[in-house]
Amino acid sequence: MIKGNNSVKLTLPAISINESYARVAAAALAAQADPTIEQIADIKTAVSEAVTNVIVHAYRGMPAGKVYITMKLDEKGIFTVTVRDTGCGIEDIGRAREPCFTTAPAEERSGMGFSIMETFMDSLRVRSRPGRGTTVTMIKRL
Amino acid sequence: MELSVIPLFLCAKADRLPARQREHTERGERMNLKLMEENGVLVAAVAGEIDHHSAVLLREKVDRQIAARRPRKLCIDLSGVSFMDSSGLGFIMGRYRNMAGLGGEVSVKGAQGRIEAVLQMSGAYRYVRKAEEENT
Ligand SMILES: Nc1ncnc2c1ncn2[C@@H]1O[C@H](COP(=O)(O)OP(=O)(O)OP(=O)(O)O)[C@@H](O)[C@H]1O
Ligand SMILES: [Mg+2]
Repeated sequence: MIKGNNSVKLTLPAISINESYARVAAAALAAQADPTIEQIADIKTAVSEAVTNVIVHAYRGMPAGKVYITMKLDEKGIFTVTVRDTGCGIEDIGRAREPCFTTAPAEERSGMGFSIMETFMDSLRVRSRPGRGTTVTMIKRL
Repeated sequence: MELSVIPLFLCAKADRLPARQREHTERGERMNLKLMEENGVLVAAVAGEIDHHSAVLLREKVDRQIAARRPRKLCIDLSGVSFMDSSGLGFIMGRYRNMAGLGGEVSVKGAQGRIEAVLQMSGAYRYVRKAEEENT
């Protein structure tokens, strides 16, 4: 199969029903590079984590905003996904990325989202500005 | 409407089943839950996808059964689960806390592939026991 040069942009309301929509869309684009079942599972899980974080954390205490997703697959089979929000942002990114750190223990969050993204993808970059929003970029070589 | 597409939150009737009843099934959009009780062990067999969206409903249904039946053990069977992220982990650890508060315990079985990786990575097996296929 010829690995494509393809990209997708999605803007979705930050509501929980869109968690499955987002990961299925990511899997559908990644599938064009003929990945393994494990690689697809990695991408679905990581995208689900990033999108769920927007839905759970980003717009806390304000009207639910949007989640902006861009995905790209290049001819070398490098899959890049960016999940962005315009929510509250993260004060201390280093701390947020530590396993078991959560600001929402009462909602049964366990602080494993970033650790899962990091483990399942080849790279994870988090950029955030308090009061402005967060951008999570992940790369997977297929 | 076909039974299999009735969202879980419309299954209000199932909640009113007598606590004595042994088995019933809840159907969600992307997730099904089957609950069975035998000798004080409540088995929650989940099928489909566990994410933040479905975990909310799952939590509510399982907690209702725990409160009604007071089992000494909860066994979460994940063998039918095709997708699970950290929300599933939160669901399992939340039930662990509830059961521990009642003096009971939790076991998990049937986790495969990336689901097992998520459980291993999080250290969940330090709190919940991993049960073999035919056991609880
Ligand atoms: N998009 C975001 N906007 C604002 N805060 C965020 C965002 N993403 C993550 N965070 C913060 O970073 C913390 C860690 O995130 P992480 O996904 O690792 O854990 P969690 O979401 O709290 O729990 P889990 O993912 O295990 O359910 C969160 O508790 C939250 O405070
Ligand atoms: Mg998270």
